[in-house]
Amino acid sequence: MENLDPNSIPIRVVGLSMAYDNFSIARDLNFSVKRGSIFIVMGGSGSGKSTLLRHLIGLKEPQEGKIFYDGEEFTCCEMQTRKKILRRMGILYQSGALWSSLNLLENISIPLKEFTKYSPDEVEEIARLKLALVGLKGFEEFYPSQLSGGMQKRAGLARAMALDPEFLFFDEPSAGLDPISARRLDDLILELRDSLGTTVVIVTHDLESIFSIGDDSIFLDQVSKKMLAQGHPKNLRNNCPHPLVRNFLTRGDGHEKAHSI
Amino acid sequence: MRSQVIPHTGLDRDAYLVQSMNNRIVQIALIGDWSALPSLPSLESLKQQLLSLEARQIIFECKKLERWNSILLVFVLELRRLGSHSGFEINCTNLPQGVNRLLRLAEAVPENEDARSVEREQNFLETLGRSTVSLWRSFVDVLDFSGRMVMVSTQFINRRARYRSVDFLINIQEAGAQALPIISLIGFLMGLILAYVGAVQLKQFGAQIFVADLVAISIVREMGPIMTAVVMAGRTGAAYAAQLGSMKANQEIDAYKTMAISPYQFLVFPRVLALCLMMPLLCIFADAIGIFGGGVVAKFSLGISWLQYITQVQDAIGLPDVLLSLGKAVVFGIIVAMFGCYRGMNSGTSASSVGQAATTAVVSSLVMIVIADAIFAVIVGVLGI
Repeated sequence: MENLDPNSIPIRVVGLSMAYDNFSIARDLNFSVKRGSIFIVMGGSGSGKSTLLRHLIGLKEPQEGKIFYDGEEFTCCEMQTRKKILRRMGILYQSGALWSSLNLLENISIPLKEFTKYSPDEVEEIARLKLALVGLKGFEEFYPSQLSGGMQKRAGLARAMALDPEFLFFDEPSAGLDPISARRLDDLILELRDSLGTTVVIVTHDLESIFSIGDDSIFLDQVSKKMLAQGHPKNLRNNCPHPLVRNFLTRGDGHEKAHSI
Repeated sequence: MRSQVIPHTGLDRDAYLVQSMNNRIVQIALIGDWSALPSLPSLESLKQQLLSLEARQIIFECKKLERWNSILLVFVLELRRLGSHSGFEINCTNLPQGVNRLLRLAEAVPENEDARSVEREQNFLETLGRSTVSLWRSFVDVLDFSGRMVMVSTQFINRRARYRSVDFLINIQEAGAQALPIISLIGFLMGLILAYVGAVQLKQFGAQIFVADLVAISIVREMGPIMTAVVMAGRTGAAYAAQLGSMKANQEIDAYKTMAISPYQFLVFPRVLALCLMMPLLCIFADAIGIFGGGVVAKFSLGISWLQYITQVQDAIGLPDVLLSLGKAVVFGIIVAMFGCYRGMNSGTSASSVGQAATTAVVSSLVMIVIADAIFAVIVGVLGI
């Protein structure tokens, strides 16, 4: 893996340290994400999972370290490069973060109008298609406040997919969803990866999703502020030398109890 | 067995009985319905009793205890704290099983000392230093915001700014047409008030006709722009701050940023532009309505005819006054829109910080409007307009 040409690694994080003002969140993270994999960032509450995501999508500057997309540096690069990389990403925020003053069709049309040269009719057709893909056909004229939480998330996913991104980021996709909707969302993610070859990064602590869709994962620890392990989630559950990681992946069953929950 | 019953005195005399056993063991018998106690039994008198008995160990007796709730847990924990200071130990074995379980649960996780240290007391110098630093930071933030606005404006002039023209039109409607009723009301009343105040004074000299001068000059040069700006700060500036603040709380601003769409172009600029364009229009409208309000008083209270009034107004003000009015309106419009959007874009992500953003947007707009008006007054005075 590491011997390969670094340019072929879609996402590479080198020596990343994260902090809010002077309060350190995590230190010296190193990992890379394989193309077409579903990469899970897991860890307890407060371990900096979501903060790591904010770094990966450029909403926060790292205290130290660098993030590369296909060998191109994303952190503190020029506006033009940054825009080019951002355009290849799609992000589903925890609450959906749909633009509340616009209806669903407009929400999904905006990125298309901004970054493609399609005619208005074509934009609308694509937007309708994306809504149909997430099972929201017929809700085009609805405003986000008129939808349930699960529907807002799916609409958010439709918007994230609008530009057929190479990288999809999910912030706690199953939070606030009932088990069936969460399962459907997982299936949708798998489907997207398989059909489009999208590289998916998911921040979650939902064990069901972790085991059913994760190919690769890292575990962040709040106390040591480090990345404790990387590997396939099932592998980590069975063979990880760190009791904390095994404990997390088994909900604390059958292993020595850790005190920091 | 030597035993000595000491009845507990106080309002809650029925809550427990202290009984001294041999070997400096003291038994506290809990009595009755503890869940109905109005407050925690006083520990001060109990402490005195225990000290006078030279207690070494405390045991409980719960045969007469009917019901209990958290107050009993607090009581036991307080006793325990007392014990660790005064050197007696608490034997909880006789307490109800539920109490013991909850006590164990409460003590399972040791206190997180990092969490406590945050609420350290600050002395005067530290507070002063911290507020100076935060003042400096917000000053830098304002500069940053103004710089971004200048950049977006140049992009707009070069026709490279991206925003939805629908948004712009909606903002024009909200900041323009929909503000007309309140602006009319305020403008009319301002003219009316000024005319009445002036009329009383001017009547003494028989110079009623000059009420037209008084109303026209004060409305056009000062009150028109100021009152329009005040109304718009409360109405539109606060709305901008609340809209952008709640969009920030809902991560909508983040969604724009990560889509490489500048929220300053997309959200802030249409709002600032709309208000800058609408303010002069509203202001000239307020001026006209204010002069009309003064005319109503002149006609019906002073008996001046409409024609006389209008002629007098025409003599009193000229183009420079109207241009001054419009210039002030544009500047105040920029202030209101900028502070509204700035506070919104820099608001926190909680519900209360959105409210705070709206409040501070109005307050700082008003302060800046008065400061700007003072600067106008000095400039106008020096230039002799």
